[in-house]
Amino acid sequence: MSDPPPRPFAAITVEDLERTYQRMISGVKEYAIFMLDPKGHVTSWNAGAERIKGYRSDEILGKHFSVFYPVEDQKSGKPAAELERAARQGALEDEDWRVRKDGSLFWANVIITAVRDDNGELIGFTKVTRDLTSRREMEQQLRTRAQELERQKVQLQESNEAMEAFTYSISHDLRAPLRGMWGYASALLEDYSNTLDSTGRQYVQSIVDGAARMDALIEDLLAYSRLTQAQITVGPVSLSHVVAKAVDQIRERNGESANIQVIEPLGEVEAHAPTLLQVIVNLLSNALKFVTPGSAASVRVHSEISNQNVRLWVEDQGIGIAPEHHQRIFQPFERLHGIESYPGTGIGLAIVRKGVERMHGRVGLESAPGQGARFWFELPQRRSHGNGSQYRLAGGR
Amino acid sequence: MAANTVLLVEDNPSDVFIVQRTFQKLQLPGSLQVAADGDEAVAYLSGSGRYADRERYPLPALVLLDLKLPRRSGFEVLEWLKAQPILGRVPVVVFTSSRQPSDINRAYDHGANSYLVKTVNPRDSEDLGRILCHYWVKCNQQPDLDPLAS
Repeated sequence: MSDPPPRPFAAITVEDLERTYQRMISGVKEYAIFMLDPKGHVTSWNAGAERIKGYRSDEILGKHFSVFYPVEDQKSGKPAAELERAARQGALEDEDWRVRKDGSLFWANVIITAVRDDNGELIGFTKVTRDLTSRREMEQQLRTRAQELERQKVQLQESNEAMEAFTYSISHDLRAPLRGMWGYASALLEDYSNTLDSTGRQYVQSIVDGAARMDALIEDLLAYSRLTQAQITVGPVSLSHVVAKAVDQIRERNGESANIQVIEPLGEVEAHAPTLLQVIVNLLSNALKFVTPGSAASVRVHSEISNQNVRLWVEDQGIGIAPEHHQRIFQPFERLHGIESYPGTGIGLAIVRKGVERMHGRVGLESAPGQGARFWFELPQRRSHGNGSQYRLAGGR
Repeated sequence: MAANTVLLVEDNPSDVFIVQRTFQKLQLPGSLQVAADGDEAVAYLSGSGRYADRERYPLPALVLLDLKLPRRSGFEVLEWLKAQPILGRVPVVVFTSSRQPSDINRAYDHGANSYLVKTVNPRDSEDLGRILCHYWVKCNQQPDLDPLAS
């Protein structure tokens, strides 16, 4: 089937066009489009005008358009002034409050255009009105929200600075008296051990132990608060390198005897190398610490890949942890055992969780009393980078 | 004869005690002098007042400088010293509890020769003292501080 031949252009009459435009305009719902006579009386009305302003055409035709203005604008003569300006300039655009039939206000964008005949005689105006109330409200909400965010940002910056100053004073001012305490107690043990009996020596040793514990506590608190605040940027890191480095650190501290079995390959992750090192050192020292008294610790480290994530397992055969404590142990200062049986600050695993979370990962464990603990953390697998130059070894020297 | 005096600029008496005790206990190859604040350090180094007696108060082979000091701060002492002709050659090791990167960088900017952080554990302090004296007093080639000798 073929289309009928198009009507020649010359055959479209002015009347055709006018009818088309009128039909088009009367159907428009988003815009109020209507006409005024030179004095400002409404001479035509469309569906959009009815929807926006609330008047049916029979209610408004012939009325003066000043009813669309708030009372104070009517009093100040704004409607007439706008017509006068539109007549003078040809057109006028305004954004301001207008009134609906029910008296409610809406935020309007108004364009008034003067219409003249062939002799330049003013025959009326067209008026196009849009209801921008919801857009204006949205803009205002956005502005308020932006201001609020700006305020919050300033507050955060201030509290960050206060926190930094606080951390600084902890590391500086709290440590000075501690250094004195530890120094004098050690001197007492060394220089006066002959004049002290064994009970006296024990007392002084307790002072030394207390100072050492306090020093470790301050160190861990600082590490934790640095993790909370510091900018952490992630990049590709080899788990094997970081684990090897962590094992070195642990052996330096605990002696070569530490039995740590690493099952290669461990894979590569997106991480912040120094933070990752701290996380792994803490997990290893945790795994080596909680063993039944008298038995040797043994730790196994391996990894698996699932869903673009690498999960590193640190497994021990120690005393294990009851399921009801599994969440609690990642909180700062949570300790399940007395200082006497298992020394520690209670911040080590909190550092692990905070560190992993800052690198967009997760931590968890599987354990039951007497069955050892299997701690794990998960980090995004290393993305393939275009060139190898970004590749970075863990905290290389 | 190489100078073996170490000038400790430190206001905290227990920190002074720890350094003094470390020197005695380990019989370190340095004789320790103490200035308790920044002004005194400047007086000692410039030889004013009683410090004019260089027999008793010899120019040091090393200044061990705390940063947080009453009156003139460690940074001010450092800035003053490094601006002095000839005297500015004296090596300065900053010795402080601050680990702040801003402090570390500022110290080097002002011409510090090394930056060490005080440890809390006395055993670590002894290790540090031993290394410090071995390196700066025994190994380090010392500058000429006599204004007449070029």
